[in-house]
Amino acid sequence: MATTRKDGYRPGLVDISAGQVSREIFVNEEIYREELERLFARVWLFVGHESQIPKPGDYFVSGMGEESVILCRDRAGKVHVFLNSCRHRGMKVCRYDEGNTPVFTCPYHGWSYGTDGQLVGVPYFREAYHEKLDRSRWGLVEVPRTYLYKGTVWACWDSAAPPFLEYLGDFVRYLDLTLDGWDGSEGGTEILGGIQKWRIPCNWKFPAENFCGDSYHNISHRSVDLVGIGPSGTGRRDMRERQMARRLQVAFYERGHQTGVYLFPKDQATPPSYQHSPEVSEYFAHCEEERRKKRGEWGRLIGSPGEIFPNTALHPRQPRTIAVWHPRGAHQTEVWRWYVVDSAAPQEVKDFLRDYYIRYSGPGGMTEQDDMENWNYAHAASRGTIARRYPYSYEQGLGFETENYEWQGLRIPGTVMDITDAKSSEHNLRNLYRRWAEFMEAESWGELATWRLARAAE
Amino acid sequence: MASTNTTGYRRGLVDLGKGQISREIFVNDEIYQEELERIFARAWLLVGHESQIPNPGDFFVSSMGEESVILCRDRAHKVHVFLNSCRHRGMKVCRYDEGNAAVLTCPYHGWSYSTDGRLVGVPYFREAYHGSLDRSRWGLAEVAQLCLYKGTVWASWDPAAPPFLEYLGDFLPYIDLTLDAWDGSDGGTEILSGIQKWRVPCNWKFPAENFSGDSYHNISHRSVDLAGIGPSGSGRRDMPELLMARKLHIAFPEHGHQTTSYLLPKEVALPPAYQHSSVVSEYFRECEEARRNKRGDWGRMIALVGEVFPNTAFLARQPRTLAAWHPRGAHETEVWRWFLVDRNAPAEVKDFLRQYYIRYSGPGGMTEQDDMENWNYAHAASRGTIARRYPYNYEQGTGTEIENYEWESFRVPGVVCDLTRAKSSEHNLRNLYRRWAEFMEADRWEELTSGRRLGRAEAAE
Repeated sequence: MATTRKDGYRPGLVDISAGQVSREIFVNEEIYREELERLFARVWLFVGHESQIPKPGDYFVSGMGEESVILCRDRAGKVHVFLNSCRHRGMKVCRYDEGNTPVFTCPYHGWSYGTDGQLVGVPYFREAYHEKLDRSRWGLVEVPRTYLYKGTVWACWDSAAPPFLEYLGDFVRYLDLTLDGWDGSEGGTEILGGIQKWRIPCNWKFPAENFCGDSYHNISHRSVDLVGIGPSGTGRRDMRERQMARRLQVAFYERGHQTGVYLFPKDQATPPSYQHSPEVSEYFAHCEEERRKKRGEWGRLIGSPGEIFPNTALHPRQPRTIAVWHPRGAHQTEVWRWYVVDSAAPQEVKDFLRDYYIRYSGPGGMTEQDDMENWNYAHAASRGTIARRYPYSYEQGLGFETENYEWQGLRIPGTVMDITDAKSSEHNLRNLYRRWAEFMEAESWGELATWRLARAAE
Repeated sequence: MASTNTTGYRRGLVDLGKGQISREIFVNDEIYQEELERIFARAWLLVGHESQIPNPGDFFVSSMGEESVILCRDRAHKVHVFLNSCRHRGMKVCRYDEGNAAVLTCPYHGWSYSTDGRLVGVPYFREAYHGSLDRSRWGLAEVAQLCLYKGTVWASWDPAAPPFLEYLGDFLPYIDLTLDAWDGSDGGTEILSGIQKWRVPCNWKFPAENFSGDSYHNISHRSVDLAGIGPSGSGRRDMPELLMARKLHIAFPEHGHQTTSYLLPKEVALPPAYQHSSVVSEYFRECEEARRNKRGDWGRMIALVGEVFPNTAFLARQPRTLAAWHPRGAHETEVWRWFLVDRNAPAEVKDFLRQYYIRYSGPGGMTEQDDMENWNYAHAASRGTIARRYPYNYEQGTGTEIENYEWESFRVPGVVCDLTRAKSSEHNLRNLYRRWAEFMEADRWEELTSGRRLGRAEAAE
């Protein structure tokens, strides 16, 4: 099996120009192990939300790649992300999902750490260690980089990685579509309590590519559309923008992020939604009006599923949610799903949204179950000795990309594929795998931050 | 763990000269992965029976090795076997056990394939693909070779494999004993509807060697013999030939197939069977007479169990059945069992047989359960760190093989071990593993069809 340094990934396993990707990258265990080093140890990963740890001592146990981490707030109010593993003999220092504590005490031998990670308690320090242990060198392992953005907490193990906002680049405006209040106020969102966590027997890249902008799989969700689980009763969500907007797929080649968006014509209001509840409908109508005023032309954009490279999925609209596809071996993904609401929304709105969100998404959600059925069998088929010899097809829409896309006075940052007439393309999926292959081949961030080279050349 | 290319399998893991086989080959995951490539991707495998797909559009989802495949009949009545995986993103194109369809539509993105495998439907082909997808290159993956033989459907992924009848070689008449009507007319059998499918927590080679001709394990089935589940009420089956025939182990070293069969003396009719039903008993008695007339000396051969290399088992007589031991990892086997009857037998005969078959075989069958109990624990013991250091013993009857075996002027094709007095031997099991090791070592099919004689082969080992 080819590894990174011999043949590279391009144009063999990942042939973007031909639009073909080998099934091996989904099932090969060697490749998976390299992903842990070359991808998950070097990228920015979503860890949680500040609203989960509002007070000093609060903690939430999360994941980065395969590893357990503790997101917590220390006594000075500062946020940290630590490896959840005692420095002494590795035991999980924190075995709970969330809570509040002044210290983390390891159950194995009793080493204790402050919420700032310092090793503050060592049983028999005088008697057994003869006071020789240098406690300042044995604190919890901390991520070298964290970043708080509009409530979200991001972390990266690689100190050579670019700062988070640079990592996002111009994609940041699309992330804002998920994180800003629906009325356009900066930040202003919070997490609806309860993180859903469940496992799927497929490689993490199946859900990742789905949320990048798989605009083709509507047939999978036909049953929930017919049943009308959406908040207005027809379809699975309110999607009337389909009928009046330009439907776009937006990708950032140098960063590996991508999203779908709907771009309304100038002076066209968003149609009414959430018709099952007049109060909720009125709330969002009001938000829409406010947003247009605050954001001007940018208020014409409604986001659809997107992905921050490599495994943080965003859904800005219905349902509004952030998901992380945690790798659990080549053949399994552990999904963690957060739900987002406006902090200032009335309680009735939040309750309505919670019912809708869990009806749609998550392991019990009717729409998400359709997807998991597909990923399950797609993955199983990719493992077959014969099946894995056949590459997947990713050529849809190859060659029809547009830079500097502009419509009715709004210039769209990123490389755009207009699928209003085309109905679908795999532009965003190609972007994910292009960036994936670059990471798997690059020895360091120097090779990956190509935008810096361009800037230096100018 | 030694892989094929460093030390090979023979003399080490599979030492037929001494009659010893390492437990590793049953439990080692690396070896298992190599089996998927070197055996299941290159051999001929049983996929199903034509009677399961009689009409155009009929399909039956089957298995080859670990992979799901679709056995179907297209509009021109041609039979196909396809990989059950959409070429777009891999999803199972067909998620049902069997049925009839004009097209097979993948539920993920809607790509549709006709029953001849062509990609005929691509949603938004004009809009999203701008008409540029070359649909002729994205049809369902089809097996390289297919053979229909007396109703059975066999397939191979390897275009370099010999054609099926050449793959069988002189073993063919023994297959015929399972597939021909009992009265000796060619073909004439059909599948009793309902395929039994169940999983056993053991490596596939445990059942494979059992059905190759483990004549030694009668003790396992003592309880069903005493309970008399057989169709005449004594024993688990009618076995009067035991008392009058030569009991033979017959192996084909160049092919890896083998069988346990009974050769009746000239001029002796088979004693009555199926005594619990006079209709059934009479039916089979007439068949026996007709078969002697049609087949001459071959009418004296009663086949019992046997194995077509690597994992297709047959039982020609009671109960009459075909089984595939599908590998599901090194530590699990998924068994698919088909039951056979004469197509022209009266309904009463078929009903009687169905009851007997399921009483005997399958996950609820009393005899098969004895076997599974053994394989379960044999496998579990083989996984142990200490246990796996101890080879299994396969030396029973070494050196007693006979080429050109003849009895009462009937020359028996194959290399024979006569068990009439010996009662048992492991001749057939050694044959299975010899061939297994050859497949695991050979890089090309040419090496597998080079043709060797038993004497020279034994000397080389």
